[in-house]
Amino acid sequence: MSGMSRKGATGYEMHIIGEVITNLFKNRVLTLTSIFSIVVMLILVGVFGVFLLTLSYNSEYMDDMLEIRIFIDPEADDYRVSAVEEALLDDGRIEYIAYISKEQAFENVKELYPEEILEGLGSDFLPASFTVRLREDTDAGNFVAFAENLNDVYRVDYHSRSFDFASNLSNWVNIVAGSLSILLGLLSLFLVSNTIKLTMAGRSDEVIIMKFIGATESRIKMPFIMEGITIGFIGALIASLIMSYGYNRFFNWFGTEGSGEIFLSGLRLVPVKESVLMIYLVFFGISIVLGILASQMAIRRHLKV
Amino acid sequence: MINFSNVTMVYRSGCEALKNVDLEIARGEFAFVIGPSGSGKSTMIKLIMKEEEPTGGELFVNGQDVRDIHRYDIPYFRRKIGVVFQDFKLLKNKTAYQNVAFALRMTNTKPRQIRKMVPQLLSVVGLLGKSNEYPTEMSGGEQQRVALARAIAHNPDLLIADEPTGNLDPDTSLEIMNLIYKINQMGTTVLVATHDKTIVDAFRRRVIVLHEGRIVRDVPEGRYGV
Repeated sequence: MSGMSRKGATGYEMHIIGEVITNLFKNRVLTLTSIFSIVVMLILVGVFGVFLLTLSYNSEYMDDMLEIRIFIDPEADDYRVSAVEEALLDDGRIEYIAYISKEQAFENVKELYPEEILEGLGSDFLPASFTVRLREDTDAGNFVAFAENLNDVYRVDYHSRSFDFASNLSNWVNIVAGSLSILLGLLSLFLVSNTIKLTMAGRSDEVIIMKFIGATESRIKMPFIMEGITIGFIGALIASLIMSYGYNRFFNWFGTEGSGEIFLSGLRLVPVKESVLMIYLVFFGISIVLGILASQMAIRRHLKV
Repeated sequence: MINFSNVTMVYRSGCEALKNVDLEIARGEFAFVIGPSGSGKSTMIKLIMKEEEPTGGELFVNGQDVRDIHRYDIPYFRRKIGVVFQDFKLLKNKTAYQNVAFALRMTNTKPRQIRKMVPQLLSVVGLLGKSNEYPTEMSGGEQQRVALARAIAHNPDLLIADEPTGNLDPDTSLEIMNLIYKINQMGTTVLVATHDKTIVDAFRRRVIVLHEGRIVRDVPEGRYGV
């Protein structure tokens, strides 16, 4: 008997690394095209991911946008305020309602501005208000119209436009980036798979020899799978570097003095460390899975033992 | 060692390559399989290697029913069968040493053992001095010797030679056949599929004649034509 065994350390691993590098270089045009396609796909996934992360990071702020502020005529007395409250409570669409008195509103303002600015001002200059949250946000338009027609209501604030815009934008980003990512993912799969097929064509003799000398299926497949993983890994690495640099620049350009707040809009960008690390993990995960899938696609038909 | 019992092989195309073949080759035996192209020689080899499965009958190789061999166990089964081909099937970008080492490396043999075994194997086939030569720098006979060294690397129980002298001149053919005979003398069962009348007649071993998928003659110490 020879020294063969099912397990055991050999120079095979080094052999695979050498073969993978040689093959990638040999088919460099297709290799570079595959890597480029993966990079573009991943960057798109990254932009999509940053957008989703930003939305989730700002969820509290977005939630506040759904609140409706109903301001009462400053001249209205307690009796008239109660009448407005009753009218509002009679409406079945309300999930909760909170009353903010003139005094409370003044206290809230005091927290935001320095005392010298508010010096000489009393609580009377601010109106009392109700903060309302509806059961269904889609009813907001009708409800705002209803509230505006109530006696003693002089203004109704609802960030519906900003919210609708954000919500629409989010939907569009989801659809466009999602579809493009899937398309580019399929394209990358096809390109990586073809790169590996080319390698296989160049090594068909070796595959035949491996089969009849008793190499296991996994041994035969390993170099091709490693090739797919390597292409994916290089793609993920390049995409991560681009994403890291790009997001850093974006954060510094658009964030107000590095705070991450977009032009004093109240929306904040996700801090670089929090967002990028997670996206890197997703990048490497996606590209390695893609590499394995592409290599499996390429070898499925050709490597029947 | 090999036992065909009423074996039939019909390919998907409908081609009936073997018809009710009964054949027994004992352990340590040396047999020639001869017959015209399309007679079923290659199919017989494919069945023994479990590249294909018989569509009828039973086939035992090395005590195993080939149908019972699981897909994942095929490589381990094949390690006990050495094969050489007419076109040698050597890796052109590897030296003689590397070609033999490749077979061992692919089956998890440790590097230290490979370094010890390869020179021994090359020595058996008389090519120790040509370890660092590439197939393109070697004659046909030398290439077939490398292929033989690779085929016996796993110390197989069975050696199958598919037209081993098809690309060689008569003198070299005889040298290669002597080497195969030497391997047989060391205890390995040998099955040689050939068209080479000279070597069949020279060796006077068992001759199995296939014609249109059937065994038409099976002689213990036969000649090519009789």
